[in-house]
This record gives sequence, structure tokens and C-alpha cells, in this order.
Amino acid sequence: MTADTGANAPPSGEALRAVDLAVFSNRLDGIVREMENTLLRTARSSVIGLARDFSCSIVTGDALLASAEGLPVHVYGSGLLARSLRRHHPNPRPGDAYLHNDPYDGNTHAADHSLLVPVFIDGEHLFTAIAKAHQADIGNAQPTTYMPTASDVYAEGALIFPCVQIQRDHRDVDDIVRMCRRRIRVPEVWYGDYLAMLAAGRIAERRLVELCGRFGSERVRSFIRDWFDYTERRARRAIRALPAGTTRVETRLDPYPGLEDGLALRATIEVDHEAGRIRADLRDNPDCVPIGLNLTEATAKNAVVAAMLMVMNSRSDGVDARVPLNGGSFRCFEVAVRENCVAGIPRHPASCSLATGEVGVRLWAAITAAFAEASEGLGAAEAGFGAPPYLAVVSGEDPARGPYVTQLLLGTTGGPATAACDGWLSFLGMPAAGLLYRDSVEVDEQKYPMIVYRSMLRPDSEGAGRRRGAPGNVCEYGPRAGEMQVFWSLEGVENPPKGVRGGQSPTVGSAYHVEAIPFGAPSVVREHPDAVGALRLLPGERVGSRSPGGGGYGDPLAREPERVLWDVREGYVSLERAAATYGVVITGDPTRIETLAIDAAATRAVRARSASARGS
Amino acid sequence: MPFSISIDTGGTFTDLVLSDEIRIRGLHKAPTTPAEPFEGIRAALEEAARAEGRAVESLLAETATIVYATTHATNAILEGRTARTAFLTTEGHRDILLYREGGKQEPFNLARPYPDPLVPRSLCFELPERVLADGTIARPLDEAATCAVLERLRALEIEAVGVCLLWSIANPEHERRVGALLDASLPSVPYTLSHRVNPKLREYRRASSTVLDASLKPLMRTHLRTIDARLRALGFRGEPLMVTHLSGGVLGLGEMCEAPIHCVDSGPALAPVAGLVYASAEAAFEATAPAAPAASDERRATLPASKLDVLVVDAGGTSVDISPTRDGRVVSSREKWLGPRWIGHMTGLPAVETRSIGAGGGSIASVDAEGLLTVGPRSAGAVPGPACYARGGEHATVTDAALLLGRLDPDYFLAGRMPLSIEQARAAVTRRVAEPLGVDVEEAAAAILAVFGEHLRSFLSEMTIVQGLDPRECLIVAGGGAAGLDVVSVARELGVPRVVIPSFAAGMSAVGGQYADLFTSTARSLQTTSTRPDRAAIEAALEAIDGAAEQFFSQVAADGTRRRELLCEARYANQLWELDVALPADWRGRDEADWRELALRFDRLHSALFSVAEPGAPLELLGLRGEARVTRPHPTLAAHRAETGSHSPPPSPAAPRPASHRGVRFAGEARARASVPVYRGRALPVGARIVGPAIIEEETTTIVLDPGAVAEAAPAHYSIRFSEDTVPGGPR
Repeated sequence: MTADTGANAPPSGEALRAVDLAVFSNRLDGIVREMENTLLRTARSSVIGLARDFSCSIVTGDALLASAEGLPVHVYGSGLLARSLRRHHPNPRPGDAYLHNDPYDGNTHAADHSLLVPVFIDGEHLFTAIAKAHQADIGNAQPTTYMPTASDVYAEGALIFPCVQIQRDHRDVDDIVRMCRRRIRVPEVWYGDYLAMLAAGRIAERRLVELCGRFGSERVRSFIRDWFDYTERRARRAIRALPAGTTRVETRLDPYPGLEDGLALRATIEVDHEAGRIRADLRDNPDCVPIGLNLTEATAKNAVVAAMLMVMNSRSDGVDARVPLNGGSFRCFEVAVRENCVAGIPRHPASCSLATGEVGVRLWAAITAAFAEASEGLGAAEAGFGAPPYLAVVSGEDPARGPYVTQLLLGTTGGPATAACDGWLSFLGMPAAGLLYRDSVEVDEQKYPMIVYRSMLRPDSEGAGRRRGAPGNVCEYGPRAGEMQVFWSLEGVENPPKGVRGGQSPTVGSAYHVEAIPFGAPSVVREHPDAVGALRLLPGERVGSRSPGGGGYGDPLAREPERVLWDVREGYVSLERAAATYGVVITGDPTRIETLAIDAAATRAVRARSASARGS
Repeated sequence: MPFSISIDTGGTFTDLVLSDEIRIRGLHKAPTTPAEPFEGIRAALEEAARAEGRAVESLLAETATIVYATTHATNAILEGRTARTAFLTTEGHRDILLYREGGKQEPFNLARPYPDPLVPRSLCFELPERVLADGTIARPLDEAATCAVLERLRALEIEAVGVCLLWSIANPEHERRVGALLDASLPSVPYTLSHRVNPKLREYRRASSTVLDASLKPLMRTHLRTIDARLRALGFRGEPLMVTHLSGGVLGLGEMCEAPIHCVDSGPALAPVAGLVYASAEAAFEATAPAAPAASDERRATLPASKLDVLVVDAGGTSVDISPTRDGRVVSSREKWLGPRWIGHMTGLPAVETRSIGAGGGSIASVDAEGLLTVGPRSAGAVPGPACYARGGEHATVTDAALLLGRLDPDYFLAGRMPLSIEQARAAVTRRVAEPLGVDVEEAAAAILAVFGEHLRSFLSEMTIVQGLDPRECLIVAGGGAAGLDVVSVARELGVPRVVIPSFAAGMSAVGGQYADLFTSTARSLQTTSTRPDRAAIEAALEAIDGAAEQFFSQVAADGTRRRELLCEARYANQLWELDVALPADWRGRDEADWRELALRFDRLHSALFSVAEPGAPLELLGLRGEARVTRPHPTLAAHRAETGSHSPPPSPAAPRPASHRGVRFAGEARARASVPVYRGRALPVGARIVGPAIIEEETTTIVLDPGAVAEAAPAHYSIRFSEDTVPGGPR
């Protein structure tokens, strides 16, 4: 029996190709979703199993073929990993698997362990299935996966695996497993997560072999060509719907220990209508810095590609410019980077511990904001920056259960406004873009000897605008038993996230310490303004986290008074701020929402006054 | 002769199945009037009475039980028509419902509005109190502050209250106290306490169940009591109305009024109940099969029906619901979303695992600027509907494509009640799909069906994957008006060896209502491990579960088998998500053998779902759940055909006579249409064997048999298998 198509009467010729395009792209996404489900449900660490800080993808050659809905920060790098595999292991065999976390050779950063499974069709290495997941611990010098002050990779201290073989003939290469078990602080958690990633890779392997067996590999290959060509055409149309020309983007990173002046960052983006391409240049950026903020090749290029994909995918003007992510659409991007650059290719041993954050996020946000400034309706304001304590890596010793280390995700950082709508509340910054899951307070308190005292919306922290940013979050927690070490970092305090087109910046992030007090008693608070925060807490003490909101889009005086009233009633915005910032006069008692009402005449007067004051 | 009636009030139709003590007598349908739900019920009752040749009053007077399934609760939630509800929670955690658990569609699209919470933030209130994970009270409930909050609720004219305090599952003292204060100060306002409605770890899910339950109380109490009263006004004198439960069982009216969240989405939950009954009927039919099969049958060596896992598919005009089963039981899930994942609301309760895909006869096909053909999820709906309805629909839909390929009879759609326009279908498919793709109209129609079939296939496939089922060991029971169009070929593509299509395909849930057990479930949370079990806590949980089951059994008046099941929520130590493992009903967790049994069952389930297991690894136990059910005496499935229940006398292969022939395009290289026999389902005797390519037209569904598919007429369904060597072309 000849291989037939889908479920129904297969058409032929052109119609067959059209059907194959729809059918196979659907099937590949299904395989990636199956990988994700496997990894999520079997992982041991909360950063993977609860927060979902992972992504799965299928690569063919060096080109990303399918990634379903992977984390925006992980997307672009898969091709670089596959290339690394082919360079170091030119003749892989079925049953192999490789561990890769080398920031100098295609990985995002050392904390993301990538597991690569080569997939063979008719004896040829046609696909590579990749599961990438942020680990609970990687054996850094300190119990955290983020080391912003590390002077180099030696100071970080993590084991680096430059694409080493971890399975042969479907069996672990035990040497590598033993190294990890010896160095990683929570070896059982790591090994469980490794098995989860492996299961994801093996499932993809099985499904891809089935797919090619069912339809014949020639037909699948022909689909791959058509699919890349299709997404390339689609990306070109989206690019041609952007304003042509060159946009220069500048932004500035806050000072850090070891980087006292902060860091000026630049990008040039050229939209070329004729060629249907985007050319970006990151080479005019500083050399690698002696702290942990250097980007990797994957994250530097990703910052530009992901920012532009967000600009293309977030249109509110009816242009359907949604672009699938794969090697086809990536053909339309050229990102020039140079060696030994903070936003380029790092030179060993520069530290890239925070390569998924900070520098890349700054550029990413600045690009989406620059396109908003260039053209009404496009782009977005800047999202909040930094990793305040709600997102800290905590560690300690549970008197009952032994040592623990984990990254928490107890709050949110506010999302940026677009021309169409207010910011997404549980956004958490560009690299995650709303995809990550928030921890359950009860699950955290059950697994770790800790208490979460509060986690709630932070009023008046939104970047005001015609469309406002989402507000940030206030969160407090601390150990219930034993000491707890907490590591976090703040960013965007001196250089807050920008609003666009008259929209305002949000309130910035901050951190504080609360002395041990009885539940409900007034707290004694000490601010911790350092960019790189660390605390050792005793039982009863707490760390406090105030996260930034997102920037606003458009003039806050143009925001519809009914929306401002809603914001006041729901406790997002105070009565005072409604009048002072939005020019909306609301009467009544905010503790009794049924009394709140817009004073339309006063609102008109205030808004007219503000407008004329601005004019003069 | 006492009758039993089951009613499924859907958005478009109200389905009613009438049975007597022996068998199902008929399926009757009437249009639903959304504003006046009883109208559809009355109309369906009149249809049934007419078919029985008596008056509605006399029919109801002889009816012992009525089972009622409704979308009323679901629609009220999705349309925001529930009570004005307040949410009370622990100080510092007001935003549990607002933040949810995170997650977002379209990661690169920043221009998506954040979804509204179930309760506006302004109606979420904090109570000064705190219980810790081990049940310790770290901060006593501040009663004065609580009373001040309750006063605010009065001023705000709150109609219902949901109370979910952190760790009430470890120590419910504070929640109970808040309940007592509510009784005292707002005696007429219904409320729900989280540890009662869903004692389960994870505050968002528990809070969501709690608030949904409270918000439904005023509305559903009125609704259910009104339906009961109106049935009684028409002459019904049987036991209290039985209302369907999201676990696929039924509860008495009184109990359902106490926890109306249990009737959310309960209609679709009945489809797998019916599906399992049809699967048993298939196994029985198979057992009566003549010993000597025809030559071509020898190759179709598959497992007997009784050994196959059952997948239940209910395909309507705008969506397809799929429910898996395992070991002859419906599968339950905790991740039931009302509305889209992440932006809808989670019920948080164990519910029949039913997932929907927005694909049906009305799904719209279009081609984008770069040449990608998409089918759905947009739908032409019932109005204006597919282009061939000739009601002004301009989009090309799946129904239009099926019509153009000859799969539907333009003059026998809905038994001839709605003539279809081939011209309109051709015009729409030409303009929307054929021209943009540069192919002829029939190629375009075939492409539409192929892509549509792919959606169904991938959805079914993902469902089997998530459940760890092998399609080659599955039997599909396909109901719904659109089932016969595609499911047979999709099943074959997946490698599913057998498909059962009920004669009453268009009323699966109402049929399921005849077979739903009276059901109750009691859950207790735990925090213990297999290595150091907290025996006292386990004993206390089992005692509570036993007590609830005994009380339930003593309250149920109905005859029937009484049965209990015990489930354990467990995970490997340090894992983050738990699984529900079925345990022997007498499991007590006392000796080594009990723990070995638990470990064995857990490993097996983990391995089935994720293809890996870690035998010997310690387990964490998060809860125990007891289910108690009373299986009522069942009718047999309808005697739809002339003969009943057996293959004898064996029909001669020539016996079935087609009503007509028409040109239909099928899979394979043939671009040309084959002339294919069309059979009227009613006329086929039991045992009749139809070899594809062929079409069987039932009144509410059309079954398309591809070349190689063979259908046998069973008393109340069609049994369809595939034989690889059947020559396309079929009899002349």
C-alpha cells in the first residue's frame, strides 16, 4: 500500500503540497508538545516542573524546525547547539545523547542544561531533538544559578559540558553522571530532571522515526523545504509591513559591582523592504565585561530576533503578521556580532552567568520601544527589569529533610503596554513573556521550610499611559526553620523601563529586609538597594520584594476615564494618582467602591489645564 | 411499567431518551430555547409521548426517575451571569484569583489583554489569620476584623461568598469559624468553604472551585428546583430529580444544590458513559458472531472488543469532544478549564477528562497570502452556517467540501429536513480555496477534508499520548451528527482497529444518562511518604471516607449494586505533580503488602503515562479519595432494528439492498468518483454486512465507509473494521 496522506481523500499535485504543509507542520508541533508534556510532568525541580523554565525543539541540519511555544529567550539558540553537535561529534549513532551547557559554543547560559538526541532516518542524522531546561543547581561557587558578580567562568564554578556524550547505546555514560552528582548540590533533583529531559528527547526520536516511516522520508524532506520557504515568505511580508529604514537603538544598563558606570548598549536595525530582510548590528557594543552579564552568541542574536518577532506579532492595526518561528523565518534576519563583545560572542573565560537576562533584556525591550516611538500602533513600551527577591534563588538546610536549593517564582513583573491593550499582569520580563507559571504558595511551603507572608499587586507602580503598563508585585517570605540564603538582582532602578509615545515609566523595583516579628505586627523594614542582593535570613526574618511594573503606551491624559475608574475601583491606581497622572477626578471613598464616580466636569477641566500647561 | 427518562439540554438541541425496565425505547430531540430551558424539555417530552401514543401527563405519571444534564451552569459562568460573589482569603494573598497560575498563549504577541479574574479584585477581602503547612495556627483568626469584612459584604449586596484560606486542608478550624460567622451575620447568603468543596493542595485551584461553587448556588438552586417543580406540575411523581455530575455520575437534586459546581460541564461527561455501554454491546455482538468468517476477514486479526481501550468521540457542528477511558472506566482529570486554557477558569475538581477541539462541519477553510490552507478554528456556526445551507454563508466549510465530494446527499441532510445547495458550496470553495491554491474545485474540497481530518487525527493522537494509550489497541465509539463523516477514515489513519457508531449517534449524552451511577466522592488531603507513613493521618482519612460512603449508601433509596473505589494522589519524592492511582477498596496502608501494592500500581501508571518509572523510589502521598456509587438497574440498548441481539439467521451478503447510488470521491489515487451504494440505516437488518466504499444514512448522521472499511449492523450500532485487501470499487 502506498503511503497516503491524511485522514481523508488525498488530493494530488499542488493540492497535495498544500495539505502536506498543513499536516506536517501540525504533526511536528504535536511532537514538540509531547516533549514538553513529558518534561513538565516528570521533572523534579520547581523551576522546571512548576515554573516551566524550559523549552523543547526539533532541529534539522542547523535550522530550527519546530519549537511549539518555547520560551522566547530559548528559541533562537537551538540551531547553534545542533551545529556544535555536528562539529564535535561528526558521526553520532542511534542511542546517543549529548549534554551541552557551554556558553562559548552555542548554549544560552551555563544554568540551562541542553540535552541533544540525534535522530536517524535511513541511517542519516536528519534531526536533532533538544530539551533545554534551567537547572535548580549547577554546582556554582555559591548556591545560585545566577552569579552577576562573577569575574569569570572560574569564579562561577559550574561544570561546563561542551557537548559531551552522556548516553551511548541508550545507556548513561556514567562518568559524566558521576561528575554531576559530585558537584551539583541537589544530585537527586538534577538526575531526575536529566531523566525528564532524556525522556522528552527519546519520545521525539521515536515519533520522528514513525513519521518518516509512515510517509516516506522523501516526502518529509520535501515538506521541510516547502515549510521553510512558506515561513520565509510570511516573514518577508511581515517585514515589508514595517516602516523601511534604519532604527538606532540606545539603552543603558544600571551600575553593577565591577561595572560602576553602568553600560551603554546599542543596536542598529535596518528594515530592508526590497530584500525583505532585517539586518541588525550589535558590534558597536563594549568588549566583554569582568562580571557575569556577558551575553552568549545565542542570547545576543536572540535579543534582536525575538524583539523583532514581538514587534511583528503584536500588531494592533489589523495586519496579520504572525510569523512562525523556524529556520525559514530566521533566514530573513542577519545579526552581525563580533567576538569578545558584551552583546556578541563571549571570549573564554568571560562570565555569561546572566546571559539570559539583563544585557539582552535591555536591548530586547529597547528595540520594541524604538519601533513604538517610530510608528503609532507598533511595538510596545519597555517591560520591567531585574530579578527582585520574588524571583530569588534560595537555599538552606531543612532540619527535617536536608539541604535545598531552588529558584522561587512567587510574584510577577508587570508587562508593557501596547497600542491595543494594557500590559499583561503576570508577564515576568521579556525572556519569559508571560509563559512561566507562578509558584503555588502552598506547594513552596510544603516542599521547603519557608513561609510566604504576602504576594500581591503593587498599587500605583504601573507605567501610566493611554494604555498602561501592568503593575508590579509586592512579596515577602522567609525561613520557617533553619537559615535561608537568598540571592537576587535589581536592574532598571537608575534607568527605569521607558514608556513610549507619551507613556510613562513604571515605579522601579526594590528589595528590603524585615526583622523577625510576630504575624501581623507592624514590621521594621530595612531597604536593600544593592543591585546584587544577598541575605542570610534567620527563622522569622523576611526578605521583601517590590517588583517594577511595565511602561505605558501613549499619553495618560488620553486614557478613557472609565478605564481609570476601573483601575481605582480595583485598587491598581490610587485616587490621588488618578487625578495627578491621568487627569481623571474621581469622587468618593476608595474603601467603599460603591461610592466612586467620575466627576466629568472636573476631569475635563484638569485635562484641559494639563494640556495647555504642556503646550506652553 | 415504570419509565426512566434522561434529558440532555444542550445549546442547540434538547435530547431525551426514554426507556422502560427492559430497553431503551427512543431518542427524541427538540430545539432548545435558551431563555426558557423548560420549553425544550416540554417539547422533547411531547415528541416522546407522541411516539408512545399517549399524553405527556400519562407518560410522566409512569416515570420513576428523570436524569437531567444541563449546560445552564457552564453557560452562566462563561457569560458572567453567576451571582455577585465575594472571595475571602488569608491576609497577604488577596490576588490568588487574579494571578492564577500563569501561562499565556502566543508568547510573541504582547497585544493580548489580561483575562478578568473570576471575582473582581474589589470583591476580594483579606482576613487576618494564618495556618501553616503542618496545620499549626501561626496567627489566630481576628474575629472582629472578619465581622467588619462581613459588614462590608452586606453593604455591597453580595449574593454569594467563597472562602479559601491557606492550608485549610491541613487545619480547617479558621474556615469553619468564618462559616459560623457568615451563618450568624449573613444567614440568607449562600457560601462555600474550600476544605469542603475541594480539599486539595494548591490555593489557586482550590479557590477557583470554591468561588465557582458559591457563585452558582443562587442560580442553580433556583434552576434545578424550578425544573423539578415543573416536571411535577406535568404529572411526574418519581424520586427527586437526578442531576448529572462532572464525574459522569448523578446526584440527587438536594445534594447538587449543596455543591452545584459538580454539575458544571456534566453533559459532555455522559458521552463516555454511553461510549462504554456501546463498547460492551460491541463485545456482546462480537461474541455472537458466526464462527466462519468470510475469507477477507481472516486477515483482520485484532484484539477482541473487550480487550480494547475505549476512546469516545462526540462530534458536533462546531466542536469535537474526546474522552479517553482506561480499564473500562472513564478517566478523570484535575485540569478542567472552562473557556480556553490559561485564560479561562479552572474548576480544580476531578472531572471526566473531556477535551474539545473547535472543529466541525461548520469549520471555515481559507488560504493565507503565502499559500497555507487552514481549516478552523473559526466556524460558520449554525447561522449563517456553511455556504451550502444557502442562508447567506460565504465561507467555504467542511460541510461544503463533504457535499462537493459526494459524501453528503443534498436531498437527505437531516433526513431531508434541510436541502443543501451544491451550487453555493461550489462557489464558496472555488473562491476561497481552489483559486488561491490554483487547483480545481474538487481537489480543493479534498484538501479541505484532508486538513480537517488531520486536525481530528492529531487531537485524537495527543489524547492517546497524554493518556499513554496505544491507538492500535483502542476502539473508538463515535457519536454526534458529524461523527460518521470523518471518524472512520481518521481511525484507520491512526491504526485504530475498530469503530463503533451508535444508531443514536446524535444523542450520546442522553443515552449516557440512562447508565450514569449515583455517585459521591470524598477527599482528604495528606502529607506523608511511603518511607515514613503517618499512619494516624491515613487512618483518619480512611475513616472519613468510609463514613461518607456508608452514609451515602444508607441515604440512597434506589436498588442497585453498591460499589466503592479508593484512589490515592501520589508522586515520587520531590516530583511536583501527582497522579491518581486506583487502590484496592480495602487498602489500609497498614502492612508491607499494602505499600508494595501502592508502589506497584504507581510505577505501572507512571510508566504508562510517561514511559519511564523508578521502581523502588519513595512515594509522597498527597491525598486519598473515596468514590461510592450505586449502579441502578439498566435498560438494554435500543432494539433499533427488526431482529434483536444476534447474528442468526445469518444474512446473505446479497441481502442488504442500497437505496440508491451516487458518485463519491475516496482516498487512493482515484481522482474520479466511484459510484457508491447508499443504504438507509433503518432498513438494514441485524448482521447486515456493508463493504466500503459505501454510505449509510441514518436520520441524524451519515456514515462514510472508505474502501476497505466493513460495517456490520448490530442491534443498536454499527461495528466497523478495516480489511487491508478489500478492493476499492465496491459492488455495482
